[in-house]
Amino acid sequence: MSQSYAPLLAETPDRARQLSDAQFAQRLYHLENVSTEVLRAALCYGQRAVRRSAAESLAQRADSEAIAALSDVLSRCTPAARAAAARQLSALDWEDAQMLWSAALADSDAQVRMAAIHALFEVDAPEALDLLAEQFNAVRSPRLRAAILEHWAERGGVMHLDLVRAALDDPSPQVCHAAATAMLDLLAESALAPLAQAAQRRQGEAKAAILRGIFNATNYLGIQIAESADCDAILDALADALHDSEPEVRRAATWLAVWIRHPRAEALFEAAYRAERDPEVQAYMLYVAVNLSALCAATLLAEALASAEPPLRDQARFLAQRNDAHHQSC
Amino acid sequence: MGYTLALALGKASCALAYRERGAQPQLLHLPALSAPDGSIPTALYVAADGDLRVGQAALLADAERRRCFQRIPEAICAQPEPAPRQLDGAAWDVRTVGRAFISALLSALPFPLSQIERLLVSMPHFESAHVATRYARWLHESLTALALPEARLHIMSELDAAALRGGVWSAQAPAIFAQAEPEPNVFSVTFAQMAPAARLNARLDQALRQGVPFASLMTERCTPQTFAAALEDCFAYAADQALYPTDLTFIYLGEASAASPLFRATERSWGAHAALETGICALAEGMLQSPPYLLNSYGLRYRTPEGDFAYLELAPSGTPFPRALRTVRLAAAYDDQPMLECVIGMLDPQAKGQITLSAAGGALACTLEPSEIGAIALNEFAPPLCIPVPQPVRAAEPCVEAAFRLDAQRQLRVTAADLRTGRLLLEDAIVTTLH
Repeated sequence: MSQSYAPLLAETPDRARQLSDAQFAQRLYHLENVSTEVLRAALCYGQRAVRRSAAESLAQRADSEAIAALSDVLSRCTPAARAAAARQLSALDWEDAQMLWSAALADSDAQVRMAAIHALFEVDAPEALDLLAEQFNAVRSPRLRAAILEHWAERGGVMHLDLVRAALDDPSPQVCHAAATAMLDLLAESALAPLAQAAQRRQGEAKAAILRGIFNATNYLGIQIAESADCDAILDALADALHDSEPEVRRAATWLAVWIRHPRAEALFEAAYRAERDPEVQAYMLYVAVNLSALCAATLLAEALASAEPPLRDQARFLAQRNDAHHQSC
Repeated sequence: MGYTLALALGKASCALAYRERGAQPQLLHLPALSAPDGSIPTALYVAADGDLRVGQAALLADAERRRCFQRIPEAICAQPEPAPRQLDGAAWDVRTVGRAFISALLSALPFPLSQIERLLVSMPHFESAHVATRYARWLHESLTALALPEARLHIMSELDAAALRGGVWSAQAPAIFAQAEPEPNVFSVTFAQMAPAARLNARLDQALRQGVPFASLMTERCTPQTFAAALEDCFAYAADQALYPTDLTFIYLGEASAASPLFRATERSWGAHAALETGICALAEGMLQSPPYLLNSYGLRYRTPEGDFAYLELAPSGTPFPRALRTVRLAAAYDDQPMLECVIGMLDPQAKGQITLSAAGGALACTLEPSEIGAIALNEFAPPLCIPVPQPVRAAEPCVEAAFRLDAQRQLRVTAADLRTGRLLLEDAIVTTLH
């Protein structure tokens, strides 16, 4: 019934409908036979989703026309378009894309260079590790610097060891942690002496990060510090760190001290525990000792149950109840 | 009467807002619990007689803080989990405290829980899926313990709530979300994507089964001095996603005086800013707001000279509201047609047809000329609003000028006039509600 009241348009019908950027980007991704020129225009002038979709399509095409279009974008388009193009370079053949990599990594815009660095992570060619080394010191993001260090560690980039070692003095604790784990990944026990020196040299969060890095990496790599020739160097660093003025450093040092199965490490830990004045940190130390089954854990736990400090006593009761429950279930 | 209740749950404080069906959102002030700014400290006091007090009442009850638990949501995420506190021979672990806090808070509402049709709880974006799940599980345990049906419990990301409140929400837009932490001069900076339009909030039980959806690419704490480094980290993640800083939205939650140095530091880079000065209360209000633009495209159905139906686009997807839409001249399809119907269709974005691109002015515009009808009529059988046509009228003779507009409640309205006499036929009549 309602159909009989439909109007006519008194003007020339305009049937065009606007597509949002997201709608167009989705279509662009799935359409076949889109000309390179259209993709280039979409990459240069489109919004974020369109740019990304166009850049992906061009890179997947990877023929000479597509490479020329990407090269043109990298040399003439907006920084946003250049960043989208740079991020897709890893889809191209390494040899074919040499000029494009050079352009992207030398771009005047830091965001374009960062996009190219992320693309380099996806390249298998050993030269990619060298290109990352060239960029490393100019990278302003601590997380990205840490990611480069982790990438070298995964790919065995020993030729860039000088940069890894220098990163132990980076202002960012996150980079220091990545440098410590990368050193152990690349050099195994041989990294312990320089890491001990770095831990002695650095202060505050950076020191704590290096100690955590040593603990984490020796743990997952199965490195027995107690059997290493440089065990004393690490223990010297720990002797200081366990009495550091920063609670964060003392907490980080606790993990490593309890993890190293060595009589001096145990003595250092127990002395530090008894000297600890902050009951919150002391409760944390007890938690670590019990969880890592330190030899002195049972004694410390028994003492802590009678402690006058509520945080320590509560922690002790919690750990004791958990131990009891565990024994009963066994 | 049914309520939608929003609980914005921050580390140090929370806030409640509610909306009655068909009404505007309102902040909920609970006299004994709320601070003067409307926020409620996330604190629980356990009295020796077992009495529980929350919010301001908890802080006032225990000067020594030995029987008072503070920053409860933060403790839920802490690693290692804090040891339980022993009170009167009972162990109060973080989850027990959290459950008791939620229970005491919701029992202080001025309406019974049975009247809550929908409860939205905010969740931070977590970098760790494990911590996110632990947090969601605690919420689920706490809320279902109150006999609230699972179908009524939803979670929503803090980022989306803040973006909605700040008027900068956009589906799946990448954003940097900076919040003032409880400690002075400390901020948390999160880089994450806003939710897709259809998933602005998620059912809590489904999120637990399928994975909590609000993952951040990065969350870190910083000071004003280290904010630049945190920003560089955000840009690095943006670069990984092939994004440029101008693609990003920057939202700040906290005191405006602290925001200005952060905004200045980011001045060159951002697509949109929003600063929410009222902190956690703004989040609670934002949780009850709708997206500030239409999520779909809509058009007016008309008959072609060939006798087929077609649609004239009135409001494309992304149209903000309120907004004046197009004015259309209409004609009768046959002699003496008594009225013209306003059937509105939701246009199919997947419709087949020819796409035209234009890059005029440096921005790309894309239009689709559909080769099929590509629309679903929304109000065809409602019945549709009809514009009376003064008689006599001849087929194809232009007779009505219809001006469409979208009001602040997303209602499509039309004002129609007789083209021949100028007489008003309909004034601001509601056609239908668009989404």
